[in-house]
Amino acid sequence: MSQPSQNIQPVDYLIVPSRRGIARLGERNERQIQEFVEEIVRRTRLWPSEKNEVRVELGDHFDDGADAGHTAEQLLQSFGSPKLAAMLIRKAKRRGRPWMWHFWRRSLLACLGLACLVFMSFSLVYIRLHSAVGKTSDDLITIWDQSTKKIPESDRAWPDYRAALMALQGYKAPPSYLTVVKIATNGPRNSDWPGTLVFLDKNAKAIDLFVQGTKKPRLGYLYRDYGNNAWLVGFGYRSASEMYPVGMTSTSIMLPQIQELNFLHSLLRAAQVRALEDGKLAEFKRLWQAGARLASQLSHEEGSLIYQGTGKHYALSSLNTLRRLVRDYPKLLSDAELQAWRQEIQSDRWKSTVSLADNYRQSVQEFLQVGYTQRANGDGRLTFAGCRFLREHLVMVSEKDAIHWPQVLAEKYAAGLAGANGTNPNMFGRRSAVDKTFEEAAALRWSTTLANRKEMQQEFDLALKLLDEDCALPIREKLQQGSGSSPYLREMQRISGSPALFRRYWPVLLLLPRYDGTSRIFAPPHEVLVMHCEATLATIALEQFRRRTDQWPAKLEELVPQDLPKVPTDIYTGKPLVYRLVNGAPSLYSVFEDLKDDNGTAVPKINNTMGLQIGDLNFIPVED
Amino acid sequence: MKVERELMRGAGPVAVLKLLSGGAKYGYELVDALATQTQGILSMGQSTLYPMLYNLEAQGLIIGKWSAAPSGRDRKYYSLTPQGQKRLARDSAQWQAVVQALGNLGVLRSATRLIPQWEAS
Repeated sequence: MSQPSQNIQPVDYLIVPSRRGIARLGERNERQIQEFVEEIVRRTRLWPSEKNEVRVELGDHFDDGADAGHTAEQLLQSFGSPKLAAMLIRKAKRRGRPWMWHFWRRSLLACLGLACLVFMSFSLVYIRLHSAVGKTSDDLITIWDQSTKKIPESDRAWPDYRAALMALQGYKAPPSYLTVVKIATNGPRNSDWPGTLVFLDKNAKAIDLFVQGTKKPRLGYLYRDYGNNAWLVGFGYRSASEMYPVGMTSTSIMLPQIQELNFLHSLLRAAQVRALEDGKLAEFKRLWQAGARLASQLSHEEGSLIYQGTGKHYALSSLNTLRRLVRDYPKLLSDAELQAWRQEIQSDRWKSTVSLADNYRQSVQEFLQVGYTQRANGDGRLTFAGCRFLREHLVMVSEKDAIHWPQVLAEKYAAGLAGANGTNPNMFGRRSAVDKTFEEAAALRWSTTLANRKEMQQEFDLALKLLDEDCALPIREKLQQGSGSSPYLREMQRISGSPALFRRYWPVLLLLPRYDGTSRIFAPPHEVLVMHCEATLATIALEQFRRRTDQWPAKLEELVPQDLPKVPTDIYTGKPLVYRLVNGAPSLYSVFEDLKDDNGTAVPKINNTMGLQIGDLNFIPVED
Repeated sequence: MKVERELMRGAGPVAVLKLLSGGAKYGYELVDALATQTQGILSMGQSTLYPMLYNLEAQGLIIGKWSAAPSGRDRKYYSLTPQGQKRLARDSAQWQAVVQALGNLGVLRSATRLIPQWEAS
């Protein structure tokens, strides 16, 4: 049946199948066997050289069978299933491949497996993140507007302010916004003063409307008010619905009303200076009262910290103008009027009721409510809206702001939110696909690393409590103790200094003030206002003393108690304000945050390392 | 009689190794030898034989070489490697022990008498 296997000779040429045996079975059967062999070979999906070898060997097998006298049917039947044969041949042949092939194959499979695992994990995290919904979808604009709508319309000042803005003539033409601000500061010394006088004459009606608005108790600005559209678009802004889309986060809120109120306030100051120059005390008083009422309106406004900060700056500006009146235009004031101004300053108009920490509390609440789901036990997981909230806050972080918490800046870079110079390359949604991918990846990472709702809330509560305590401390004590002694800052540094804590709680560093000095400059604490009030009272007292004695006092103590209830205190040192006679004229100043007496020289710079202002803060002579 | 697949999986390679211990053989020759020398009991479908040969080759127990047969046809001849010889010796000893054990249990008592009956059937 089989050929004896003696005297066999190895061949080293290309192997080709023999077809002599099969050919004897007839053309039809030969084709059938060839197709059978080809099917097995095709199914093996081996390398071409391996396929060729299998093809030849199986061909020889059938050839031998045919030589042995079997029919095609017998041969095919005895061979068995081509599918099974192909599968087993494939397995066996692959087992015999070189070890390098096995190494690469296993490595590749391991990589693919790992990639699948990573992909599935990320898919799960992605679905979990995107399916999470916060406790409320109400944004701050909705909350603020709801609160404003409760104010009776007759008590709202904004419609008058808006009418004043709409009544402005030549707003776009010179003098520009900045020129008016500068003129309001420098008064007649500015070369544009004549042009400003023309502008003031042209806009007397607008100023009257503005003054009328200051008589209302509340600002009453509605963000999503279509009635503002004509003003917004006319002043180069977008419409209310475009500027304040539903679901926006607090970082994206633009405050055009503050920008335009600043202009009106500058105009008011310019008009005040003009009234003084023209010797019209009654007009000055009317305008000054309007400025003071505006300051009070904004200082008591709920909502953005910018309102209160702006209100306080307006109050300081009003006190500044009053000192200018007493010091530079004393002839306009009778003794009775001096006394009346004194009573004005001693009124409680300037008292502020809003705490700094409360403002941050609002932002924190917004983050926790929008940014986390909330289960019955108070816990919850981060939502995509929460990530967007953080992302928008990170966009606003500049390198200067993040000087004390560099890790926050690092997080910004990691999220792809920073350009080459650290600033956001495309603010307000104009971001490339690559930027968005970075942001999406960052959101996925944050959702797995940030603390859950309960833990985050606890950390925020602790930090806000410490911030409250920090704000309650007199500035003098804080400066004497140094920043390292503040429990609030120590808590911030605890988070910042530990990589594990930072990964879980970095939003605390992001949303709460990085250094209290920053907030102090932006929204001066009530103490600063008290010091300015005391300095203004001292200015009036000095004038009263001079009128009575025809000379300036050598010391401030000489004013007490007849002209002044007590010597004004420098809040930065706890000692009396510095008073000197320079070339026969009085000089009154605070040594300011650097606690160094610079002989009344104002250096308007901020020491970035400590966030402290340096130079002296002058009350007399009146600084511009 | 058809041997169970699991039993064949163990016996098949030993049978092939044993056949090759007698000299190099090509595929069809092995099929033929298995059918005739085991009275068809260890006769296996060629769809199983060739993968088995490739497996043994991958394990280094046999080696295949293309050679010209006396008839002039090129065939792939498989022969035992030294490693294959060791394996055959080891497996043979193990099978011997199995047969011995089964014999002790009385399982193989009538095995020799049954073979002619199968041939007849």
